[in-house]
Parts: sequence; structure tokens; C-alpha cells
Amino acid sequence: MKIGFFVPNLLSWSGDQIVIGGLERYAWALIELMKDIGWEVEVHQNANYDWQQEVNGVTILGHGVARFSLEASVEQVNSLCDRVLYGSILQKPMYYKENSIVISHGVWWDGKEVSSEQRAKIVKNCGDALKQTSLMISCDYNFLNVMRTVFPDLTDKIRVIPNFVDTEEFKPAPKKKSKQTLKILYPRRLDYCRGTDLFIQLANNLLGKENKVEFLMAIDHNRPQYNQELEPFLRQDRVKGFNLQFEEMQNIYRQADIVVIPSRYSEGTSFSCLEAMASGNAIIATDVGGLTNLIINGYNGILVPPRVKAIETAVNFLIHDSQSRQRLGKNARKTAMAFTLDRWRKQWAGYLKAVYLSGDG
Amino acid sequence: MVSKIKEVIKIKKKIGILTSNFFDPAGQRLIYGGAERYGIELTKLLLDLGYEVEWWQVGSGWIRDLMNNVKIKSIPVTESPYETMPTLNQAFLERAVDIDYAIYFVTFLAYPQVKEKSISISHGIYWDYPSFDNLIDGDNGRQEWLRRLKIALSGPDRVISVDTSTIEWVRATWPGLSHKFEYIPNFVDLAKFNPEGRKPILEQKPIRVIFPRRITTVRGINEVVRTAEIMTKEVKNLEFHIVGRGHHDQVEKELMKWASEHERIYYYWQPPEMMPEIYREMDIALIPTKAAEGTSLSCLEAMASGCVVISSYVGGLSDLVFNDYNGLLIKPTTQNLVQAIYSLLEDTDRAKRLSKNGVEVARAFSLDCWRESWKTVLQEVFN
Repeated sequence: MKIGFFVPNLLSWSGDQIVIGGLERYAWALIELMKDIGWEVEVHQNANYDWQQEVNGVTILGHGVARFSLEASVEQVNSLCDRVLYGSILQKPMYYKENSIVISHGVWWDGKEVSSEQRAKIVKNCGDALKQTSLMISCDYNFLNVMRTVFPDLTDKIRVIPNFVDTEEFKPAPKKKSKQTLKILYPRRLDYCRGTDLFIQLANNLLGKENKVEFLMAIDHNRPQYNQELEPFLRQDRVKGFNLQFEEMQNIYRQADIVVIPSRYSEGTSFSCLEAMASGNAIIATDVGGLTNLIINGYNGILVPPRVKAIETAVNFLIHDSQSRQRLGKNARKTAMAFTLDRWRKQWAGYLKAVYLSGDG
Repeated sequence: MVSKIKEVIKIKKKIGILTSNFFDPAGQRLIYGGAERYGIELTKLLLDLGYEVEWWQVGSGWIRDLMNNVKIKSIPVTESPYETMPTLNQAFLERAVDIDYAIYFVTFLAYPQVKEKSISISHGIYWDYPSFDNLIDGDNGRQEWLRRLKIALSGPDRVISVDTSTIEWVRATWPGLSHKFEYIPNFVDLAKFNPEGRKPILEQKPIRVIFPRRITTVRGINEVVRTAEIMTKEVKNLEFHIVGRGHHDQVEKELMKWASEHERIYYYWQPPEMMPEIYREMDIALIPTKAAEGTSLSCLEAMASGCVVISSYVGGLSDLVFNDYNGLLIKPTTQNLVQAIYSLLEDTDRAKRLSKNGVEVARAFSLDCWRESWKTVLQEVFN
């Protein structure tokens, strides 16, 4: 069985760098799974020019036609491969092959920047993708719920497989020493949709009021101008910025006492949230997208609307209540065990075989 | 001194709550579903906080007591164009002149106009099934219905949502409105619903499965009926208890006849105060909702009582149950229900773990937590 897997940006468009992001990690885990099932996987992606690479034992083809149009790049994949797995829903109307699976990474049009016309188009495109493919795998239930209100007759094709976390790699610190300062961590990309500015406002509000807290940001350097803007903030006492490799992330979670996931929109079942859970952190997350499929308010974390005041109230509560921090962290770790990689692979394997080992092609 | 005098002459602030049907329009029968129980608890809280409360609903003009010191008054209205009730909305504003604040018990009742200080409540997405189109005249009416819903959501100072999927829907539809929303999930009274003295999960025969919902298609009754027939035939010592009222006598009669034709299948209903006792005798609870669901009280009550919950992922249910952690989340088909029940029967340890985690999780939805959250919102909006 040979399968073409379309992932828009598994490598950079020039093909010389591995892209680090949630979507890409998802894709690598799926490639690994398909190889283990015994399938030959060929990845196709957008590129500046046509190239071919071998990375981690997988052939990756970059399609230069993406310079002209992202749709053309998908058309290229469709013409080269009998069976295609679509790594995300495309932003424009597209032809998807029958007997295929398309992946949804959650609602991404729920920000104020998206005009109502754009929003209507995106929703329509999601419906078109649903109509044409055999299955849509969504990483959260809210995507499915939103779709049901528009296409109640089509949502039978949506299956939910929440994202995963490696609970061996991400573990609570052996024993938390009673420390002088509490560390509050933001482990996300620098992005308005991820609520970076909410975290900064929160820190600015609290630095003056609370002496014994420190703010850590484990952030990316994908867009250097953002990091530049952030520099004065990071230069302050009791604020630290980190640019970490994935392998280093487990340590920063272990150092942290409180983790804040202040997403505004465009959120699925966030890997960061899952990793913080597995690490036994006391988590404050917003009630946005798939985060509510991971956190139950008052049980394994605190859910708040994406507003500074609400986040600050929750952080304040946790700063002064070590018992609650411990209880929420303990339950977060326990809940993380329901989101193991093993479980994710089993669910995915079932659907992959059902769709690609039957039908034409 | 001055403040003391003010204290003495302080007049109770009055809250008017507008709903469509607490009683049936004739004012005879109390409709006792989840929303109505919500209404009772909310009224109790408001009274405890020192407010005066008055309810308004559809009716011929009758007035009656809802509870001690709480009246419910009615306004004659029959039409509900585009799933809204503008006539009721306006009559409420004009007649309830002595209220200080308003609570719109259902979101669409806040169309087109609201009292200056007001809150509305969303009990979940109710427009997610194919035949909803018929209520709004299909595509022709959809724009007008949406326009009205948007106005209804824009008016109140705060919209309390019982689940996060409604908030996400609003964010994905009108992101500019989402700041109005506050998530306060439904509650369970842990003093009544708890696992104390319960039947140990899957240990004693007969094993009992309960469907503790209204007998309607959106709640998945058809799938449950089929599941009951299959499972009671295949598994000895397995009982099915379908516990809830239908919308018509006819439906209830039919089910009784059906249950009479099948061994170990029972159909009946009991008042809410009997339910804790019943849940303690059940092993598995089915919540296979197909549409129009919030954070179901039945789901919370079954979970708090230690039943293993097999639930669909519709609406707010995914706020309550994480798959294979404190229950099972499935697509509500007969085949999936049968499979899920078998998977529990075959692995008792897993079933026990799900039950135990369910009891723990349910504590986060205690009535006390719910009252605290509401209290905070009331103080913010009505001060």
C-alpha cells in the first residue's frame, strides 16, 4: 500500500529545514504510524521549486508550483498519487479524492480578524471537504459541534481523535522543593491568537504586586521582529525568555508551578496544554476551541475566558493556594493518561485501514 | 451612621425572569425538565442573596405561585416567528415596570429589546439537527433567524452559557460577541447524588443499564430501544431501565406495551427526588444524545452516583466526559452502544476506574460551585 500524504509545510519551502509546530509534529507521528502498519508513505508539500528529499527515512517531495497557487500544489499531489491523505483542510475550494481522509486541527476562523465573508467561505469549504472525502478526523469536539450546526446531515463523517502526549517523556518533577519563588510559564508561539499579549499584560500587572513570582516564556524565533519587540519586556527582573528545542521542553515544564495557556482563538487540543498536564502543572487555560476537551474547570485546571482580568484572578488564586495547585496538577497528570500516544495510534490505525484498504484505488 | 440608616431603609432589588414555558401555557402542569430545575435553583440563589424574584411566561394572563414569595405571571402570546418571541419580549418590558434587573431565561427571549441591566442564559446549541430548518423556513429564513439571534445575544450585559461548545459556536460565527459569554456549567447536588451505599459496579447480577432521559428522538431513544432488544437477548442477567417522560401520553403507552413484550426491559418514570435511589442500583447510564444538548443534568447525576456513563459527544457532553477517563464518548448509533456496553462487561476493572473517575470529576460540578460562579456574575452585572 502506497499513500501520498499532503502536509503543506513539513519542511521549509526551500526544503532545507524541518519546521517545528503542532501540525508538523502531528504529521510526523502519523508518518511513523503508517510506516509501522507497513505502508509506503510519500509526503508532498508546498515548495519554492521542485525538490525531493529523504528525511527520517521518508521521501518528501516539494512542489514548486505552490509559488503560483497552493491549490495547484494539491492538484499535483492528486495527479501523482492514487491514494491521498490530506493533512489539513484547504483554505480554498478544492478537489479532494474519493475514499480519502482529511484532517481538521480545530476551528481556525474564530478570530475577529476574519471577515464575515471569509468566515462564510471557510465554513463552506469545510462542508465541501466533508462531502468529498470518506472521513474527516478532527482533533477536538468543538469543531464537530460547530460543523453540526451548519451541516447536520454531513457530520456523521467526522470522527474525533484528541491529540496525544508522551507521558513518559513529560513527567512531573520527582519532588518539588519548597521554593522561594513561583514560576509561571507561557509555553507557546509568539502570536496574537495564542494570547501572547494577554500573558504579557498579566505579568506586567502582577510583577508590581507579587514579589515571589517569576514569569517564564518558552517561545519560538520564527518571526524575529516579534522577539525584538518583546526584548524590553524580557529584560526585566523576574522575567525570562527561552528558545528551546522540543527535547528541552520537558525540563521547563518541570521547573514551572503554574502554566498559562491563554489562547484567544484557532485552538485545538493543544500539545502544550497536554504536555503541561502530563508534567503535573497547575494549568490555567482559556475556554477556547479544544482546550475544553482537555481541562475541566476546578478538576484538573482552571478554565477562563480569554480576558486578562479573568486570567489574573485565576493566577492570583493559584499563587496563594498551594493545595489547589497540587490537587489540580495531580489530576492533570492523571487525566493526561487518557491522551496517550498509544491510544491515538490505535484510533488512527483503525480509520486508516477502514478507508484506505477498502474502496477503489 | 449614614450607612446604617441606608441599611435599614434599603429596599430589596427586584429581578424579573422571562421564560417561555415554566408551566404549560394553561398554567396547570409544571414542566419539570432540566431547564426548569435550573430555574428553581436560580430562584433559590437569588432569594438567598436578598433579591425579590418574579417570573413571567406565556399564558392567558393567569398569575400563580411558583414557590414561597415568588409569583409567576403570564402574558398572552402565541406566535414565535423565526424562533423568537418579540411580542412576549415587549410585553415583559412594558408590564414588568417595577423590576430593577432582568434575566432572560432563554437567549432568544432577549430579542429585540432588553432591560438596561440584564443577563441571559444559553442552555446549549438547539439548532444542530436537520429538521430545525423547518422551524425557520429553511434557507429563506436562516438569515433572518441569525439576525434575530445575534440581536438577542448582543443586548444583555452577560450571557451565561452552560457549555463551551455554544461559546465556540459564537466565536466561530460572530467573534465580536464572544466577550459577553461566561461559561457556568450545570450542576449536580452532591448531597443527593453520590455513590454512598451504591451497588458495586458490574459485580452483582442483574447488571442494570439506565437511560435516564426524556423519551425523544434527539435524546437517542430509538437507538436505545434497539440496543435494549439486542443486549437483553444476548446477555442474561442484564436489565434495561428506560426512565423518563414522553411528550405525549401515546408515546409513553407505546413504550409500556413494548416493555411488556420484552423480558428484563422496563419503562417508567419517577419524580426527581427518587432518582438518586435509582442511580445507586444502576451500573451503566446511557446518554446517547443526537442533538440539542448542553451540560446534561442527567449525565452529571449519573456520573456523581457512580454509574459508568456512555455518552455521545454532542454539545456540552464533551465538557463533562473525557473518553476512556470518566466514561465513554461515542457516536450515538446502536452498534456503538452495543459495542461500548460489551467493552465494559468484558473489562470490569476498566468500568470501575471510569466510575471512580466519574465520581471525582462530578465534584467539580457541585451545586456550591455553581452558586458561587453565579453569585460573582450577579455582583458584577447588577451592581
